[in-house]
Amino acid sequence: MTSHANKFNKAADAIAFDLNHRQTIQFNISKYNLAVEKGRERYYDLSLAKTRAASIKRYMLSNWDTLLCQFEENALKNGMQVLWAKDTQQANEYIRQIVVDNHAQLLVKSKSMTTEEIDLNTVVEKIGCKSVETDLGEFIVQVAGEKPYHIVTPAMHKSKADIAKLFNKEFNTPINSTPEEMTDYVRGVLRKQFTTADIGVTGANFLLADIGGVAVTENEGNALMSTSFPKIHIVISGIEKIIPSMAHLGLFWPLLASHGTGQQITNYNSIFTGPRKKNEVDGPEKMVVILLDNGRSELFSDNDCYEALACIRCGACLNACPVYKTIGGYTYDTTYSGPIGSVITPFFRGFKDYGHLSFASSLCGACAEVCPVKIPLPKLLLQNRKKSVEKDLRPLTETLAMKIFSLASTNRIAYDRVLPLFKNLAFAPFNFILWGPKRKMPTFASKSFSKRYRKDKKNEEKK
Amino acid sequence: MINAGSKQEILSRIKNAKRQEIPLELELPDLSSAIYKDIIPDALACFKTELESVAGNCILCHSENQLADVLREVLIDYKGEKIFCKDTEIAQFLDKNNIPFSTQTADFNTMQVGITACEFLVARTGSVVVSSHGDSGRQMIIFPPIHFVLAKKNQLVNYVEDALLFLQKKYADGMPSLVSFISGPSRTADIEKTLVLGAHGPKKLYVFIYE
Ligand code: SF4
Repeated sequence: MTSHANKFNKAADAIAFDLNHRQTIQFNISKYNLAVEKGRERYYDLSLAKTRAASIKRYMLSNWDTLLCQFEENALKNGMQVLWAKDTQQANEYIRQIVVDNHAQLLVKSKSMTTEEIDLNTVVEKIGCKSVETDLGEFIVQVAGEKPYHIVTPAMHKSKADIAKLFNKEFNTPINSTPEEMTDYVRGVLRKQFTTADIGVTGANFLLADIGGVAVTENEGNALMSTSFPKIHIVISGIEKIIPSMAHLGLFWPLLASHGTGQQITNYNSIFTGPRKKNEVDGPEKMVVILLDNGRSELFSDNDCYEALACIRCGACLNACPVYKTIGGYTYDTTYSGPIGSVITPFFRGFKDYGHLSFASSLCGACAEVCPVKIPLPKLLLQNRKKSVEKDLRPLTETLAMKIFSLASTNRIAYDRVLPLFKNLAFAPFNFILWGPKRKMPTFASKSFSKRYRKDKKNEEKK
Repeated sequence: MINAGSKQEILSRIKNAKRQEIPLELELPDLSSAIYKDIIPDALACFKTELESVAGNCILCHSENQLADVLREVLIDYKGEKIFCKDTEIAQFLDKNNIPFSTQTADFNTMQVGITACEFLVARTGSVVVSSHGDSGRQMIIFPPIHFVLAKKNQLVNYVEDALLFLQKKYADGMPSLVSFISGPSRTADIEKTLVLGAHGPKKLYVFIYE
């Protein structure tokens, strides 16, 4: 077993029985579920909306290169700069260059998982530019020195008491601060940063091919603040975020909101089409879009999992997943967690280290049911398992146990000769190691099915 | 910054995957049926209900005169230097009606109320569509602690799609560098999913619609 898989097992073991963690997550997700239920009612025909979105994203996948080129052409016409990054290293090199060329001291960042993927904070801080997370949830985990716990709700694992304690320690705010007071405190601190920063960084929820635009969805207003004051706006987007037309946002914005948070539409849905225009009074002087591949085009070559590139990162599959709810976001030790994370991470970071994630699923199907773009996640998890086995990446104990089990169980006569008691005893160590001490294996029946069948048949014939 | 090589590399990997030849698993969906609920009883009432459901305020006025009266009344507690407005047309209107306000850069940081115009209003979602085009620019739509939007009744459209189409028509020569659909005051639910208004943007949003 690789050290990653080992770490995963240990962390999962520890957290699955951590009652505090479970309570916090259950509380947060139950609130999310209530909101989503309400959000659904806003639709006249949600299932048709999902079918349309799924179909547009599949259309995008079959015309991916054309759409990307169309986006670039239009974005350039709009006065943006477009940079193609094949991996995180290249993306970081671009950013480093921009920071250095512009003598940037302060960078404000709005929530974006893609910037987590390339670990932007570490890179710019290394060259002496301060990088500040401005989304409240991200700000909290940055202050705590942690990573986002959830792709939509970064501080989901913390209760308000946890956060009040953290703020008290770091900023000397009252220990019994309410969420309102803490939000107001952060607002005050960050307003100064927004208005003095050199660079504002955002992700992209959608790239719009037909107008060369970048659509960003947010609730707090930090992305708008980050792009209204600093003189440079950098967008970091995965290449799969592209959709054919701006008109499709009428479908995707409400869909993202209803699945991400249960809102009818997210508070701020913005479309950026470039730096400040000649006739405009403010806005950045420069807008740079970094198109990040980092394994995506390789995932595209996979005959099964390419569909995962239709994902709009709404987070619904995480909230629906019983495994996520039990082991939590950190145990995955990846940028993208939950079912979608388990499918795509092995392609981004290797099956050797991350193949085990696809085995951490009960294949209950809840994720596929909630997915707004109809990605068949359980099927893809199964395909990943197959790949891990074919690549000989499963732990030796499991491979051996499976071999022995298949030898023994496929040989009917040999199998029946062994008394049930011995069968139970013989499998006990395997059960303990593989199944885990906290789960119970069914015991072998006192009479095997084939014995009973033959006996019953004889009795039948006698009648 | 060299990037031609990476672009070719990425695009050729995508081309080589030959997904173009794989038939789409999903048939072309029904594109004519409605997915959102109807606008009832009318666009104006629907807009008001939706905006108020996300903690925004909507005030209907029958005439410019009534609008002036209402504004004077709600702004009575604020000093002139705390009310900021960059929009020339609105400024003229405020002047004409003796409503004090500031355009001084020195007052920008300490403003309490910012007044702007807008592009459209969306009935189904209670959204205000704003853009960087015009005198207010980007900062005025996100910086003010309280945001006042003045809109005419004929700026109201039914669905998000409609607003997007109208925008494209209006700006056929190129969109403003920023267009934003705002649905309510800025909010966060990042602490225990407890809703808090006024995260980084306005804490309150007032939309005044007049005929
Ligand atoms: S896989 Fe589907 S449900 Fe999961 S985050 Fe992506 S779009 Fe949402």
